[in-house]
Amino acid sequence: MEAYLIIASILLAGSLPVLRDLPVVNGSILASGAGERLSIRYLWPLLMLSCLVLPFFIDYSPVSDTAAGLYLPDSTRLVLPVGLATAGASMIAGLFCRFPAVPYAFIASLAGVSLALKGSINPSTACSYILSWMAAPLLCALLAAGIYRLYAISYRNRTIHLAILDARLQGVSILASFLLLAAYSLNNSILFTYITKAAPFSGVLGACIAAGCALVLYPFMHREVSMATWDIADYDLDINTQSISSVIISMAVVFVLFSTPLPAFAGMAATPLPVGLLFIATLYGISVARQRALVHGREILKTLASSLLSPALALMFAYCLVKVMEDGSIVGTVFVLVLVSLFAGGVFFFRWQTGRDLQKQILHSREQQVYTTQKSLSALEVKAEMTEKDLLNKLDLKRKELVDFALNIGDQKKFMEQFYEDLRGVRSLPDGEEKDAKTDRLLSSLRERMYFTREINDFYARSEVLHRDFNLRLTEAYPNLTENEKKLANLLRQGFSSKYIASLMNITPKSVEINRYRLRSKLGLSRSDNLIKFIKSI
Amino acid sequence: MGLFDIFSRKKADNLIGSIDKLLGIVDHSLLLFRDGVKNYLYRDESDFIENLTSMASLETEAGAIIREIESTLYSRGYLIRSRGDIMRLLERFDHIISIISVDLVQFEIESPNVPAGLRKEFVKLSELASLAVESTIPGTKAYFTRPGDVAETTDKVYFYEKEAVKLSQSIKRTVFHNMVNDLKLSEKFHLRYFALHIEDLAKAAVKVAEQLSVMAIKRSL
Repeated sequence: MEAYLIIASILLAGSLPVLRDLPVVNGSILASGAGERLSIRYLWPLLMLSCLVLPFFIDYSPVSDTAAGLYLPDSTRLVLPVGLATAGASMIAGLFCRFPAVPYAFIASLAGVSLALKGSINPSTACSYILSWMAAPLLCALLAAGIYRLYAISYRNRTIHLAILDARLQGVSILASFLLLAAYSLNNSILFTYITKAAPFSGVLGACIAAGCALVLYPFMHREVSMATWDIADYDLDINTQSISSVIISMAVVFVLFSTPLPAFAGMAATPLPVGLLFIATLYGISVARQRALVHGREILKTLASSLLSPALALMFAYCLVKVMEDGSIVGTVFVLVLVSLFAGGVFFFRWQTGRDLQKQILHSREQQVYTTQKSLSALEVKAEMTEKDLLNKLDLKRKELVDFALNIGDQKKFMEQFYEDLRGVRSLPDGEEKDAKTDRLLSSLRERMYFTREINDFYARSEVLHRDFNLRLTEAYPNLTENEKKLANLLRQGFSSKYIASLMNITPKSVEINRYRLRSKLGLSRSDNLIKFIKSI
Repeated sequence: MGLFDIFSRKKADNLIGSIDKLLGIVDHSLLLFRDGVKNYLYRDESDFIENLTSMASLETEAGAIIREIESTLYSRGYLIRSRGDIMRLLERFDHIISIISVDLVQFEIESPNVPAGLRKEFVKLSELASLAVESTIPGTKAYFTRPGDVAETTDKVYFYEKEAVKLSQSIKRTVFHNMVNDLKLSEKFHLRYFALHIEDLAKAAVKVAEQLSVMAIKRSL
């Protein structure tokens, strides 16, 4: 039971720094370009594993020693409230901030347990912690700004090739990142090791438990951790190599500094530090040095608020949990477990619902996209169909025209041949009267042919089909027009001259002019208006 | 590269060497281009063919160097913040080498009939276009060492490009207005086409200069 409680506490308190803080360390390395170097590719995982296991074998830890001043767990039963309070407070802070201050929450939860058990907290220890928590980010920002300025001054007047400069900075970044990882692990290892000190196991067993927990958590967290890592490398650290190097060095120095007894000389405590807070502080420091904002003011405020909220909540949670457990023994423990389960369920439900809402939104937007595409596709189809129909109609008309033209030629030829034969027959007639009668008949048939009534009717019929829309609009707008006037308007719209219209309508050009005049008056046009332009505009 | 050669300069030096070599190839190509155009115009066929052969081998060499630089930049994590821009710049230089090569090949294939009166203008045009490209080389070197000096060289590029465009227009005007009866319409079009191709070289140089200006600004941020 004790072992389970410890493992549960490690999982609860340890998974959050892995999720939120480790991407900052890894992201800084990737952003510097060192991630593609063999030294990082092969040595980095080895170093990470060592950093996880080694603290269980090293007794010397000023961070743990200072924390012992607050509370040293002597019973495994009290380990659970520490883990739960840390995890709960960090989760709540993490709902509105990217970097919840997990180590601060952890220290505050120890203080909460101490307060519940002893009824007081050592004021000097509490003060030294608060002082350290304020000093660490400030120091980090100052260091980052200073290192950046140092780079700028040292390379300002030197002609150095960009590739050489980059290679040097990358080398510095690699060394600094090794230091950062080691110092970060050493500094934050208290979250894993401190709890196990209450248990009868440490050393190899403790290391195995930590490694086992890491292995269990890895498949669940790998995706999220690598996504957050790339996010930090690509967006937060989309800056020059000098700035990235300054970020890594300043964070490493501050972690090293606060993992040693040195802060005690300034009345501060060796304390575990949240890497996210230090990261935002370094970005702020570099922004000041470069006079260009690298981080939003809102992000800085959120991170600061989270580093205040996390320890405050953790203190409260740990105090309440221990009080309930101490007063109600088994019933109290069960009550706490139920409370914790409800809280965990609430958090998971909130996250699940957020995820579901997001998926719904994505689905909705995709449906909208599909609908819009389908709509435009249908419009295109309709347009294409109409165009096709129009083209088919035109083709049909042209075909008919061609057939008519061929028939007309044949007809004309037949008529001419017949006429020729008849004329020859008339010439050979001996009788004058009969000759005259035959000639008259021939002339009348020729006149009839000249007026080509059938062809004209065909022409009008075809014209009406082609300009059906115009005829409809004309009839609608001017219902008092006669058929002849409509024909005239149609011919004028097609651009025929008065002379040609006269021959088409079998009237004299003068009559055409008179008809045009009548049409103008019926259309209500004044002298200055252009008739053809007006007809075309209908 | 070993595990522990964290501060090794070997790869960085190789990279610098490759970039310098590529710029050297661009410079050499420009010399070949000028010489090639002159040889074609003054009917020195054997030298012109030699220019063509040299240009083809330079083009192949440039391609290989660019691939090598790309591999170093992307597999070794060098210049991670500016490698995209650097590759774009080098590709623009590769494009310039292609333009030079294609222009010479087109002279060889199409054999344009350049009237004697226009030879000097064509030689001058090729020189102006080459000067525009040539001016980008110190600018590129300055980007890597002293980004503040890039602006000085880009001004020269813009000047030579403008001069090249002016001369190209004057050639076209002469061809279409003053040689109405001397040349067939097809020959006029052909000459205009070649003037445009040489002008393209100057325009490619301007693109390099623009890219350099953007990169220099990015470095100063």
